[in-house]
Amino acid sequence: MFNKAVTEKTICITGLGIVAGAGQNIDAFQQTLKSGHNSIIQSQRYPMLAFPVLQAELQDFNFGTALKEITGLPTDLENIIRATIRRYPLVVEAGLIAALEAWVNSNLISHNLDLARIGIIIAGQNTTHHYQYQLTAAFQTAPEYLTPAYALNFMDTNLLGIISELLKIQGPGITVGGASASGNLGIIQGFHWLQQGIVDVCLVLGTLADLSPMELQAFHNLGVLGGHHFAEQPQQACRPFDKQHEGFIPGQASACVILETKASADKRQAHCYAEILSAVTLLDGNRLADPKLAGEINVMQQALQQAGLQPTDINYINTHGTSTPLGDETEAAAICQVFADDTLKKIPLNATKSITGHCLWSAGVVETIAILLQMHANFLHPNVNLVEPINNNCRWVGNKFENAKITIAMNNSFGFSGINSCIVLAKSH
Amino acid sequence: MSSQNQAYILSMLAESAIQVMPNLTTENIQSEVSLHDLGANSIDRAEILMLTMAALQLKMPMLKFAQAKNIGDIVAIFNDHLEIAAV
Repeated sequence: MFNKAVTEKTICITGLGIVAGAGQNIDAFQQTLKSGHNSIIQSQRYPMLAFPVLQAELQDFNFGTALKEITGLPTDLENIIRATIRRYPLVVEAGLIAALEAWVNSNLISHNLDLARIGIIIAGQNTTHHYQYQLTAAFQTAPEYLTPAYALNFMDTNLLGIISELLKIQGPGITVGGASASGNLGIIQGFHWLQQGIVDVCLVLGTLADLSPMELQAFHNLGVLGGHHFAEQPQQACRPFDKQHEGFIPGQASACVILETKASADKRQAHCYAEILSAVTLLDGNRLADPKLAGEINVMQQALQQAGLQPTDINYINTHGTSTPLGDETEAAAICQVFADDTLKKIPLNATKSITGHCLWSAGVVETIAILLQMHANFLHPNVNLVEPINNNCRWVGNKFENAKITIAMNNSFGFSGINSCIVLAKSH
Repeated sequence: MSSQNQAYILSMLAESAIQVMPNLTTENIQSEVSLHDLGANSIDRAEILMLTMAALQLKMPMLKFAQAKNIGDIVAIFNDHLEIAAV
C-alpha cells in the first residue's frame, strides 16, 4: 500500500499549458481526450512528397487570437508580447502560448520569487528543420539576402531567450533532446534540478514538431510512418496496440508543465496537480531505431524502485503506444513482464497518441498533462481505433472514455537511439 | 538625390519595416525618426535593412549603415548605392 511521506523536497507539477491539433488550450484538450476525437487529416503542406502524409495537424492557429484567449493574462504583459513578437516560426508561436498558459495556470504571474531560482528547459530538438527548408530555395538563388534573424531563429535555444525575456526568468536554461522521449527527458532534468536545490521552479516546455519534407520522407523510407492502408480514412490510421497498426502518425503539439518544489508551492499557496515520485532514463546501447524489451522492462522497474513502489501500487499506465508494430509489441511485452498477470488485469492502459498523434518532441509532456487531467476529472480517455488488441493479457481502456479514480500513474516514452524513460506520478489532493 | 528616388527607397524601407514589425504603419516611417525610436532591436534593424536591400536589388555590406542616425540617413546611403549600381 503506497504511503510515502510528503516532504519539502517533494516535487510537484503546479501549472499546465498546451497548444495542439487536439486542442489549443487545456480545457479544449481535456474535452478532446474525453471524446476521443482525433484531428488527423491528410496534410496539404507537403505537395512535393509522393505519398499521402497523415498528421494530427495544428490547424487554424492564430497567435494574436490565442494570446487574447489566455484567461488571466495581464494586459500589460499582453501588450509587451504584441509589441515584441516578430515573424517567428510556428514552433516559437505555439511554444510561447503554451508556456504562457502554464505560467498563468500556475499563478506565477504575480510571483515574488527570486528570478534566479526559476529555470527553463526546452524539451525538444531539431525544431527548425522545416523553417530552414522553407528558406532554402530563396537562399540558393540569392544567399546574400538571408535574414540575419536566421542566426537566432535556427537554434532550438531561441525559445529560451524569448520566454526568459518575457517571463523574466534568470535561472538556468537549457534545451534537452531525447528524440521521441524528449518530453519525458525534459521533465526528468527539471526534476533533478529541483531535487538538487538548483531552482525552486522549472518551466518545462515540449516543443511542437514541424517536420520538413525530408524527415517525413526518411521516416517513410525507413518504414515507420503510418497512413498507407488508412490513407483515405485518416482518423482511423493511428491505431496503437491494434492488429492493424502500421506506423506512427505525426501530431503537432507544444505542451508545458511547471515543476516546483512543494515547499515553494505551499509558500505561495499554489495548487499542485501531482507529485513526481520518480523519473528515470536509461539507454539500450543501441544506435538503431528499434526498441529493446530488456531496456523497457528495466526502466519501468527502476522507476518503481526509485519511487519506493511495488508494481501493485500502480493503478494506470499511459503507454508510449505509437502505432508502430515493433514499438507496440515490445512495450506490451515489457509491461507484461514488469507486472504479474493478476496485477496486469487491474491496471488500465491507454495510448494518448491514438488521439493526439505522435507529438514527437513534446509527447512526454503532452502525455503527462493527459495523466493529470484524467486524474483530476476522474476518467480514462479511450484507446481510439483499438479494435483487435495485439495482446489480450493487458487491460485496455475501450473505445469510449471510462470513469475512473487514478492516483498513481506510470508514463512511458521511448525514442530512437535506444532511449528509454519512465516517470511515476501521484495525484495531489 | 532625386525626390523620386527618395520616395521609392522610403516606400521600400517602410514595407520592409512593417513586414518585420507588423505594429508599424507607413505614417511611422519618417526621415527624422530612427528605427531604434520605432522599437526596432538590433536584429530587427538588420532584417529591415536586408529586406530593403533585396527589394532594391542591391548587394552591399551592412557596415555601410553603421553611422546612419535615422531613416533619412539610411535612405541616403541606399540612394548612393543605387546611383553606383545604375552607372
